[in-house]
Amino acid sequence: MQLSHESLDLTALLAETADAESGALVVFGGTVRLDDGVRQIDYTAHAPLAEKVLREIEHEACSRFAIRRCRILHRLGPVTLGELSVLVVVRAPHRPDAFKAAQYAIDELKQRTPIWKEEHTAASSRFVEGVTLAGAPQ
Amino acid sequence: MEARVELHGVLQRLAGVREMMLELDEGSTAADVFAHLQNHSAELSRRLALCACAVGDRLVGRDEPLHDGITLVLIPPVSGG
Repeated sequence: MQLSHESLDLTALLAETADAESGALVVFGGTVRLDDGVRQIDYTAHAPLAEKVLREIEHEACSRFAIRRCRILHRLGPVTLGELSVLVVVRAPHRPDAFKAAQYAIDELKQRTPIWKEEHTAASSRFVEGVTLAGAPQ
Repeated sequence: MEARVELHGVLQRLAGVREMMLELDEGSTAADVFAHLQNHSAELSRRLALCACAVGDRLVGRDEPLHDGITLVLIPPVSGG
């Protein structure tokens, strides 16, 4: 499972990825930040494709870098200030590849995953201008 | 034939619906769905130009042949993370 309507559980993800042969653990967490009055972000997705793409990115990270685990979890629904919207957990024998793989995973997620954010302020809401998927007309 | 069209993100707001049913000619492709929606509004038309499309968990091209009962998902620029 790569998408969740519930608060993201880092403890559970760490337990799921536990690996005795990994000496490096890198966690990237994205949180909703106070920016231009934003108080909440609503995340939606085309779930069948989003789940598939996130699984592909996990597998790609494991094949491109010398790592042993990569898990991505993205929140859906309303997420308030300070809450986690995304988690990337990478475990590897050594730290250089763990850092690179985590960077790769979050960068690819933002380029390829059909997830959308709608930012809410006290007075209004707006969909964030996003990244056009490769293959779409330019 | 009838096709279901699923809208996401800003497309939902611009079209005012999450999904719509379209009656299309036999032999229609995804491009015909885009052409149908172009007339809705100038802003929606501008956004559609940047959209990809999918059937289930598969990204498809605008030349994708459609069949009766298919659901075509329109994918505007993405903003996860």
